[in-house]
Amino acid sequence: MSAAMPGTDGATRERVLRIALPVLALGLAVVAWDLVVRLAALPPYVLPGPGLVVRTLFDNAGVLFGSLGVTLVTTAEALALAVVGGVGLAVLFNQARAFEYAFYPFAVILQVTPVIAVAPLLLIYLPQPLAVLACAWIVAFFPVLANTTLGLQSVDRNLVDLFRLYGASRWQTLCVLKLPAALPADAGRHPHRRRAGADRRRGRGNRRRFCRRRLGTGVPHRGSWLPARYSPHVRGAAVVVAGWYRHLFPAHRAELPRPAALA
Amino acid sequence: MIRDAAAPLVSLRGVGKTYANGVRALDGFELDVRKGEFVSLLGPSGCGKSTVLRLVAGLAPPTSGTLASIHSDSGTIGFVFQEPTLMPWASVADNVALPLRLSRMPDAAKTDRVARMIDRVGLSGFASAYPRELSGGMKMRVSLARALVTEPALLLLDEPFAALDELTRFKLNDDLLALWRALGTTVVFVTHSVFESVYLSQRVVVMTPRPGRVAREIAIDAGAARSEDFRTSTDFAQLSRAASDALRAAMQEHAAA
Repeated sequence: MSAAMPGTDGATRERVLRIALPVLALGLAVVAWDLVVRLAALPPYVLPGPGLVVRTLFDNAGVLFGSLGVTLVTTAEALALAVVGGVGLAVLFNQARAFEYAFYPFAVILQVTPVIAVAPLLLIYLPQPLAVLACAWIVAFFPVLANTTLGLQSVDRNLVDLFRLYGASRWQTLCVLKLPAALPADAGRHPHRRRAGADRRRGRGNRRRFCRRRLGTGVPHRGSWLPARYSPHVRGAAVVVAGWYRHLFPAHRAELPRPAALA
Repeated sequence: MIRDAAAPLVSLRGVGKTYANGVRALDGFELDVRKGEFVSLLGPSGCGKSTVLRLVAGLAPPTSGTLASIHSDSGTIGFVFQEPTLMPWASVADNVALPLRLSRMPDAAKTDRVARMIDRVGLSGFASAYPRELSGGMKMRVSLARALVTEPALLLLDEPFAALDELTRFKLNDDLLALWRALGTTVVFVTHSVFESVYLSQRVVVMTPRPGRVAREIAIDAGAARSEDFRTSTDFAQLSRAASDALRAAMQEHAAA
């Protein structure tokens, strides 16, 4: 990790550090955990050591990984439903103010109600897998709704005026302006994808500046074009939604042939 | 230079505009803009210049008086804001194509017109670049191309070059004049720069602040001789002084009132 390493520039070193440091820290934490358990002679029912945890993981692999599968599927389903419901409702709110005034409080109530309080009721009302799905959905739904609502409202006022000036329909304003604006800057135009030739160095500079501004970090990752106020699962979902949106509305792609080089 | 002295393209008679918060932006505002004219509205910040443009564009209704303008729906009015106001997720070509896209022009015709307009504002080779890759002046050129791509009868510019450095601004002033001459568009240009208004326009309308009213009109009779020479000529200096005096008088009048 020294600067004298052949072919190591600042960026590579930073990347190595960003991987090596957390791995190292995690390793030290596990060692400390193990030492505490051994030195204090803690019984496993108070705190099992890392070795025992790993052994149990292997011994009961069938049950545990089966459960993991169920959890992951439920998570994915709940996220998908939350995205559909959240984005759909946000668009509805945006199009009809009265509707937003009437129903936004419901969304807030849903959000502030502890899941643990409604879970027993849901288990009575619904069959068990569906009740679990509903619980996961409640958790995921509100951030999607809130962030999309905010995104749809944060459109440049002048651009809205421009659309009015050209007599754009509600539908055009929604699809061409508000939805892309709600997916924060450069969705699908992820700088990762546009680095080639002479543009390469500048692209990297832009990307890093972009990430620093948006996330307060110097290193981009998946969904890094989203502002930091978005929680990780919303970012993940937005990456998926952005991909689909660009697939469904390809009009955002350049319509003219790309010039040989950008001066 | 007045190409059609008949009916004005835009006519405001005793127009007043009071906003919901009680601010009287305009009061008894009178303005005629004839076809093919280049008119500047000159005044300090917050004197209702932008309000005039918004009314003319049909983006807001006047609260009193009568206003005759052209209908804006089909791209007959181009508008350039103080900021470039581009869609950051769309390429230069897509941004310029926006008005045509909104009017549902077929793709083939659109592509050709967009490419021509991009060339015209001097951005050849940048069609697929993104706004974040461009300088402030280049972004403004994209904004100008977008406003002109529908070949509008009327072009409204709201302090478009205020945020640019002087050299870039001079260059864009010259390019705007060249475009105006080539396309024959009627232009209403809002600025708080005395020199810019005198350099560009055939007529400078000096406004008083709060409520906005016409204080004085100054005709700039420099024909087609707008170039670096005009900028350093004594004519230009005298006209600038006249406009500057009118502006100061307008502001004092306001302060005394």
